[in-house]
Amino acid sequence: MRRIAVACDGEALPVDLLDLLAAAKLRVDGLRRWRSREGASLTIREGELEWLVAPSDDVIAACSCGAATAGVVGKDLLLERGVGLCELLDLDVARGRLVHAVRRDARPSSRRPRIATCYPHATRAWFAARGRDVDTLAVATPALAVTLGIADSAVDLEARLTADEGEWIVPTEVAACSARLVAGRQARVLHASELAELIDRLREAQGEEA
Amino acid sequence: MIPEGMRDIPPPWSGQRRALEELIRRRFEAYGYDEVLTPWLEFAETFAAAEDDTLAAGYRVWDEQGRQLLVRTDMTVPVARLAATRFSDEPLPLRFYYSAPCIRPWAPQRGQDGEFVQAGAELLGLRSAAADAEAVTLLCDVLAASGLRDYRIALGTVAFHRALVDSLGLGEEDRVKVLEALHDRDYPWLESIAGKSHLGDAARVALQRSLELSGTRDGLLQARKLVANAAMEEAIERLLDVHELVEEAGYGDVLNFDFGLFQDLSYYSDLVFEAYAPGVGLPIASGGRYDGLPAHYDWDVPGVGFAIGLDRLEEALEEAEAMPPSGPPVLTFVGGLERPAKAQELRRLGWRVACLPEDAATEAWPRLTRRGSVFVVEAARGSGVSGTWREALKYLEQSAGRP
Repeated sequence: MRRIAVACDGEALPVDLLDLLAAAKLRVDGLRRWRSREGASLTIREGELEWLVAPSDDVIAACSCGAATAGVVGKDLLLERGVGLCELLDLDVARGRLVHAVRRDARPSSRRPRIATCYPHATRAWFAARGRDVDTLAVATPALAVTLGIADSAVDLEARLTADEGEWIVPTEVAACSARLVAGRQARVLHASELAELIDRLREAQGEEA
Repeated sequence: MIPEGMRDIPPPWSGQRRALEELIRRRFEAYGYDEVLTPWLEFAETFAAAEDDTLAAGYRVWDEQGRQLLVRTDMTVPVARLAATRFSDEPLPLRFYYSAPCIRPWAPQRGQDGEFVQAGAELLGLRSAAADAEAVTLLCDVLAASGLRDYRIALGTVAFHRALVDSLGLGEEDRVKVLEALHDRDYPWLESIAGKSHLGDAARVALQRSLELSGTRDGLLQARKLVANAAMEEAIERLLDVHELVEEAGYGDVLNFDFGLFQDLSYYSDLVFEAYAPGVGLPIASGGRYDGLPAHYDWDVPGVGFAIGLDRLEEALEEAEAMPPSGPPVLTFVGGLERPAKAQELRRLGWRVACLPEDAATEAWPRLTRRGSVFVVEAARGSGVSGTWREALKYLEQSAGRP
């Protein structure tokens, strides 16, 4: 039996993702019924296929440990924690941008900039690649940390910064993000033909949608 | 408390570990490999010479002369160093094996233990596909002998991708990015680089298709269609030769090809392979050809080898309920401390005998038997948990405890 883990961090599953999976001839009736409800992880059986709907971290863990054949998870979380997983396909749904945003009223300072983020690893790597020394502050709501004055700027998904729209200087893109099909190293070998078929079907479905 | 990433192995697991190591040792020796023992500490420059960040990022100490020492992070490097410094005048090939702990900084997000035991074999001095096939066959043989049934070996080739990337005519910056994307197994990124690099359609398709190629021998034949230069062709022919020879040795059915297979260590130069089993997300063994490695120690000979992660192999065997028994059970001889002659007589017969004093509290016996391999008999008082001497010895014989 195949088990595909789909990341869901307390929000409804994106409709365009469900449509894409359905177009790839995967049974998603159970996922559609579930999408309007919030809740903890659960599994949904659809014949020979089992969906695991779980927070992103759990999807990454399930794939890394060989407990899921494949997973669907956002690129933002993969940048932060997805070391060792194979990114097989950009599903091109649930698109967003991970950005570095500075408030308009930010004052220049001589000390190292403090960046509030829920992506400390990705943030450090991005600044390091540009030769900039920064301190990262790991928080759940980076924009709030900046508003409260405990950080100089924020790295977060652009969509999460819109509450304070207008207060930010045009953000700089850290990475373009979208949902990715991933697999662990074990699944690539033990479920090679199933994964190849899944990729083909999703590619075909993407082609039809385009 | 012990540091994170380290582990104690108490009985009965310690006995199972030793039984597994012994079984692996016997297979290595059956192929003519000799054991090598190397020190925990190497000069940091020995590992630095291997030019691999993972291997160099170990725990360091300084000796009294101020020289940097590194707690070994891998066994292939010390074996290559040892062979280069002690065996360079010996006739080739050389065959060495080891079973030894290594330590790397703990990285749970990468599934990496701090301390891990590598049981591995290295074949030095042969450059042929036949030597590659011996390494793969030996790995299969060890895994099969350990009791693992449902495992697969993925074969890949670093040489193929290096030749493919060379054939694309990319600028240095794009070339580095492509190799990085290949190593990170980030295929969408790879597609995006390929898209921006003004590659021809054929080259772009070759790059994308090459990563998707996996499966059985037919998949490998598909790879032939992507060949753009002699080095790519040579890499594929070599894989086919290895497959054929391993098949001839009786292990063709466990082989998979995976052109997306990249090792975490950079010293591999051609064939790479990994073993996977249900229940373990990371490879239980990995290896490959490392022709450039001994040259770092001034001895330019080719080499191929692999290392099994004993902790991961144990996980797979536990998942398959196939762990080897931990050895014969112990006969706990209540009153044996006061009757050493009788205890010695039993030991000479081959029994494992642990003695308790005659006045040992009866309540303590179940605690001993709970360990699984202990049997208690009260010889001195004529009756015990399971009765008489005769019954006790019969039980031990039935529990594979017969000497």
